[in-house]
Amino acid sequence: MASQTEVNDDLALVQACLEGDPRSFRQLYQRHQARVRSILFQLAGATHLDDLVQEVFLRAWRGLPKFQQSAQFSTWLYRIAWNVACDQRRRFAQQRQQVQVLGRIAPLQQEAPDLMKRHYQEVLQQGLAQLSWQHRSVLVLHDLEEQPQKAIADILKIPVGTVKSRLFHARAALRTYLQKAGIQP
Amino acid sequence: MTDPSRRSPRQPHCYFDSEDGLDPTESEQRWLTFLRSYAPVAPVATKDLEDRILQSIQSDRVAKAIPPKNLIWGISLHHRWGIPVLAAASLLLAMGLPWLLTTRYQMAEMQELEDFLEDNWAEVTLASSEYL
Repeated sequence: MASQTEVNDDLALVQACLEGDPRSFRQLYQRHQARVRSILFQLAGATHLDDLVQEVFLRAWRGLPKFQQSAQFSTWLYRIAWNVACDQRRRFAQQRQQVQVLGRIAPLQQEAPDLMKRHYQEVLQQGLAQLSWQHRSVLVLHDLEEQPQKAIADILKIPVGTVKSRLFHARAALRTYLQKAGIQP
Repeated sequence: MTDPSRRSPRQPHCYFDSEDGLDPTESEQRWLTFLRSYAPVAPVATKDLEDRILQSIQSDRVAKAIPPKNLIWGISLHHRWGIPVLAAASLLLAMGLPWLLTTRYQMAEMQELEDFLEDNWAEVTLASSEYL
C-alpha cells in the first residue's frame, strides 16, 4: 500500500505533468510500471505485455487532465490497467485459450532449477486461469499485488463487501483446485 | 488450514488487510506466502520500453498541437454526415431565394399599383370624361 509521502509525491508529479513537464511522467512511469506490469501479466498473460503496459501509460497520459486529485494516482492507474486487461481478455475471447497461452509461456519466463517449485508455479498459473474473471481480478489485486480491499473496491467500482465476498469464493475455488492437484498450501 | 468453503458465504471471515487493522491469521499468512512464492512472475520488459512510451507521449502531444488532417472545410470526419445536409440546404436556398424574392417583388409592385389606382381613380375617370 502506498504511504502518504508517496501519494503526495505522485500528486506533485501529476501536477507537473499537467503543467507540461513530460519528465515527471517518466518518474511516474518508473514508480508504477512494475506493479502495472505485474497486474497486466496476472490478468492478461504474457502475450503483448509490453504493448499493454504502453497502452496503460498512454491512456493515463491522455486522461491526466480528467484525473481527480482527491483520488490516489495508483488506484486510478490500476483501474486503467484493469480496463486494458479487460479489453485484452475480450480480444482473446475464450478463457481456455488464455490457459493455453499461460501454460506455453510458463517454462520460458524464469529459471526455476527446482522441479517442485516449477510444478507449483505451473499448477498455480492454471488454477488462476480457471477462476472466473471477477474472482481472478480480486484475488490477483489482493493476494498477489497486496492492494487493500478499499482500493480494490475503487479500482473495480464495486462495494467493499463484494470484494470480501469475491475474495472468499476465489480463495476457496483456487484452494480446491490446488488440493485436487495434490498441493496443500 | 481451515477450509473456507465450510463457512457461510454470508459471513466471510476476517481477510488479511492491513488497512482494516486486522492481523492475518496464521493460515491466511501461510496462504499468502504460498501464493506470493509461487505466483507467475511477469517477464522483464524490453530495454527500450520506457523510451518508447515517452516517445509515444511526446508524439501524442505533437499530434494534439497540430490540427488533424482529416478535416474537410474545418468539419471533422465524425461530422461528415453534415456535408450532404449542408449541400442540400444550400441548393434549396439557391433555388428558392430568387423565387421568393421575385414573388415578394411582384406582390409589392401589385400593391403599389392598387394603391395608385385607388388614390387616383376618381381623377382618372374625371379626366377621361372631360375628353368625351
